[in-house]
Amino acid sequence: MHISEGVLSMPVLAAGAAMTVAGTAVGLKKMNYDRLPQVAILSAAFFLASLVHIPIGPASVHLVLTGLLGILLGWAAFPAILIGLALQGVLFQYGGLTGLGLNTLNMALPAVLCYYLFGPWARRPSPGLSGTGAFLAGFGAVFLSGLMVGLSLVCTGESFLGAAKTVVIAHVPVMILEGIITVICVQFLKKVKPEVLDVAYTT
Amino acid sequence: MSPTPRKRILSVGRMVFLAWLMVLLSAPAVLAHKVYLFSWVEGDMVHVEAYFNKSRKVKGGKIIILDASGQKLLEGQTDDNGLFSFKAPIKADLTVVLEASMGHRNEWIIPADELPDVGGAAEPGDSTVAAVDVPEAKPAPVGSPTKEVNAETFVPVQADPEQIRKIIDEALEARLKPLEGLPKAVAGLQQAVIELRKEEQKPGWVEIIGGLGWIFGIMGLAMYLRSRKK
Repeated sequence: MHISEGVLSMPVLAAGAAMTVAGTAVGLKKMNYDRLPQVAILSAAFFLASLVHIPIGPASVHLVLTGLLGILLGWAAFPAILIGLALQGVLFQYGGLTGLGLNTLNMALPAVLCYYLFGPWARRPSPGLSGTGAFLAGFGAVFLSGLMVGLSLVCTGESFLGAAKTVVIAHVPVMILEGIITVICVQFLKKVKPEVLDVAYTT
Repeated sequence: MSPTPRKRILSVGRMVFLAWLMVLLSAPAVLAHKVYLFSWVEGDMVHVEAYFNKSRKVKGGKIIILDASGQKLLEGQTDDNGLFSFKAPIKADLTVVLEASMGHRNEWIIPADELPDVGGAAEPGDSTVAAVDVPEAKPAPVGSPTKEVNAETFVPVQADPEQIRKIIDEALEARLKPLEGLPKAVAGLQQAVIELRKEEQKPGWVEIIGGLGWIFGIMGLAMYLRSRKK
């Protein structure tokens, strides 16, 4: 889901960068700094996620974890994902640095949206409700990211519907997988360290 | 005022420590982090090079050649330039073990297909038998045909062009036979370089650990700065 260097034009990249700067500023302001170590751990998990390949049928996909980051971090997902993508760019050469702002936006904004949409459900004690919320967060974050990538590609001349459809359909297995993984993580956290879920990282 | 017993012990101890340090530091191996070992094949000779860094070679380092099952095949010592050469004993995976001073040790594995066929291990259709004996093919082919012409067919007046062509062909074939393995060897080299470059591009452990280090480093810095603000 990283858009590679040279695909998008400067105005689009600049707009994306500007919005990411804004989002990161909000994230840093709202972040509960007592929780900083856990934010760092989630950023590290995001950084490593792309290295975990899971074979699905003939192809293999890698984890994204933006849904989980969204419901746990809220707006703090912006700085966490920004740093994760920046390091992936520098160390693994995944995506370039000019596209960093836009790629962060495409991943972090859906995360924040999922925080508002599904976060409350995921926090509820009832396993059914929390499981549904977690699944929808994982699924939805990737889905929304797909839409945003489609939107970003519009300026290259593709129609939004065409581009979005391609990206989203290609990522359906990832969406389902992410949903499942988010459910597993949330259930695990509830048993082992429920405070991580109960207290929002952002005020 | 004569020094107290405690002061005397301390001063003697200091001198002993300094002496020990000087002896230790005079051995070049101490300042090295690891010992480097490389091995490559040229023709039917295997060369080994051992060094601590570019300016400090391993002199008199013990070299042991093992086969795949760990059996010792031969032993040797590196010379003053850190080099040691031996004739490949068998065409099989070989392990070169280096034991240098001060507990430095390293290993290098030579895969069987880098080695020339030796003894009964040769396969019938293998064209790399003679390996790449390029340095020895120095003399220009031009020299010998005239010699052979003189020895075999001393043509008094006119030379039969067909005969000359045949002689030149035979001489060339003899000279070029050792180079038969060259295209295959070059292709193998190219493949190896491509594989190396592919490996370079993959995210390795170094990058992963580096990335994690950065994340927690930034976290630590942020926490420190915030604690100062308070």
